Amino acid sequence: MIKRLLKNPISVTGLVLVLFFAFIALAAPLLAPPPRPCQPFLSYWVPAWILESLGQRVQPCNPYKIPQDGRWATPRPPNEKHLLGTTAYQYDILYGLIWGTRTAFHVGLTVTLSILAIGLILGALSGYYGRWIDELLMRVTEIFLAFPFLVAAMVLTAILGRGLDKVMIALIVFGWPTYARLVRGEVLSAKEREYVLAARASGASDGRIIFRHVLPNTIYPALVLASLDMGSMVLSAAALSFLGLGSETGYADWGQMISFTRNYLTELDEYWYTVIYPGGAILLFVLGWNLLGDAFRDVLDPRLRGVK
Amino acid sequence: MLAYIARRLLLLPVIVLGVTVLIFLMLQLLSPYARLALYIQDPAQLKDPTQLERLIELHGLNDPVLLPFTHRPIEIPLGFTTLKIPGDPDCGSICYCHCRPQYFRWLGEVLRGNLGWSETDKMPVLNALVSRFPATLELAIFAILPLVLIGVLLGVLAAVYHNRPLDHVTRILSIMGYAFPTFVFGLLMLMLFYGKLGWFAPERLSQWASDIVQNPKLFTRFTGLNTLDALLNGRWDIFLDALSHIVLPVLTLSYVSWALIVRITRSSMLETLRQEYVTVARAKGQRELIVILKHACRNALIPVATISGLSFVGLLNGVVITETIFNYRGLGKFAADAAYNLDIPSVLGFTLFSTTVLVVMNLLVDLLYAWIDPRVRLE
Repeated sequence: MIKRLLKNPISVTGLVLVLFFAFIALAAPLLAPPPRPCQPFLSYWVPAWILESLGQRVQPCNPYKIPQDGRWATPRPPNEKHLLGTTAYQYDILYGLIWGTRTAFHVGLTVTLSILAIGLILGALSGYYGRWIDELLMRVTEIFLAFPFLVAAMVLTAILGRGLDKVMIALIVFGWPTYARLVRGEVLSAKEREYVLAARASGASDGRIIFRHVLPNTIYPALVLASLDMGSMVLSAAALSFLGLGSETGYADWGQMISFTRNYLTELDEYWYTVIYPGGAILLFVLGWNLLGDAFRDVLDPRLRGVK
Repeated sequence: MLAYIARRLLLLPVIVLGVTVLIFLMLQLLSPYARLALYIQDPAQLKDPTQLERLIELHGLNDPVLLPFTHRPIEIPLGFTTLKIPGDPDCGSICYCHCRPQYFRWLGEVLRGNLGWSETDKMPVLNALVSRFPATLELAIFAILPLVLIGVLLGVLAAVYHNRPLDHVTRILSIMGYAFPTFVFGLLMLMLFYGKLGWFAPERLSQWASDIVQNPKLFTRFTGLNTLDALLNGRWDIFLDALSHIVLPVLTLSYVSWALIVRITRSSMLETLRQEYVTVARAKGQRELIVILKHACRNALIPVATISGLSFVGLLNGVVITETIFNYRGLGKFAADAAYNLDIPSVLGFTLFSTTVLVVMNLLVDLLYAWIDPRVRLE
């Protein structure tokens, strides 16, 4: 499988892009050390609750807050002190880009893994048990899918109140139905196969059949969709941040950094660096996951080629 | 075919009802005070704090939500907030109540056209939606027509000239289109064509044209679509002005769907060109152009019909971002501003509107699909 991935220059590009961003995210504390370093150093990578359970004292710190150089409202072009310039209110763009990579992975992984898990469970239940469970769940997914995705996520975020965590909740609430449908269809065809009949004949329980026999054989299309969604969910979150519903001002989040531009839309040519750099980061991140997802699809599931 | 249409038509109200139930359940996350704006037509009522309790009582905002049953008050900790479901402290676990559940009251109000008060536009939400609708309709018309025509043409050409330069260019463009965030693309367009070149401008009209259009003595607004009204009034200068203002939003709104349509047309066309009946047509000496247009395109364009319908979702999502970037006063900008101000009734009004449009469009596309492709009906 890996050999086939590496043969195609397009999938190699995707892989390189994703690995590059993963590297930036992991190396963020070294590439852009926060002005007030977090203690202990390990807390950049290991969640505080694990360190505390090991007996370490962890001081609260927030490296995601972009350091501010003054309060001046107009952006400043790239210079020696700020290599990529500053946004409005003097937030350093380079720092925001580097820590924003972590935010992107955080949002992407949280949302995608959650909707994947929900979709797998509900899809498997629906497809395996059929009858009224199937009927009910499918009608519910139809209702969720009737909304335009971004609009629905926008409403729910507005109801929950501003914030990146609320954006993620909204994306999860309206993201799972696609997966539930996909998995259900796969499960429907898989449950009639001989190996499932054999498992049932040998007295395996429903749970065992679903998790050991059906899901492992039906999970691939969902995984392909998830790798594509890693990009598109980050994109949706960035769009909501751009509309001013995401993280608070000064948080290292690409969409939030671009949202400053809404105050000087008619002078963009002068402040190009506030659009090009964060915009380019989002573009490359999404592109990387899309190319990788396409490659996965070609390798794992030839039937899906050319669809979507 | 009739049975198929009937089944689809019967499902339509079920889905629309489900949508309203889901929306209403989401609203329950708000406190009764925050929900009051959904029922109010006159904001003066909300100014008087002594009246709030009475209004909540009047609109039954503490009554059961969906079914006429009540229960003990429930509190669910959600981490960032605590979800409080009000109930009757005298009730055991579940008891019947002689009241109208909130959902049905609210649905009644919605059906009567009362969507609440829009703080964003300082008028009832329905009026705001009606007054903003033509701008977005104009944008959508200009986005969809070239979208389908040029998209299909490029896709067909890319398939016919498979693996030649044109094919590579469309492929790269469609991959880029897939990954390019709408708001980044829009900002780049604005930066390039307004900031650097000064060819096109944001907003719907220039100041001088806007002054004329707003003046009822000089200009009659028949439809609210600026380009059409300008033609009906015989004002070519305003027509050209409106056209030059709509170019950038249209490009921004439609390029994502372009990428999709080109991609689908290309792959579907490639598959069809490999079919035996195409080879037969070529073998009997038919001209290549005829083979492509009459034999291949007919079948290859079936999936394109579905995708064109699906791209409506993209348009409805994109309209919010696009109109915000270009300061284009339509429904999308209304929704974005409302969301920014956390003005729930306005956002909700837009959601109800766009979801209904989407559901109806999906129905039309399915019917169209069944009409073109008889295999669908038989399933």
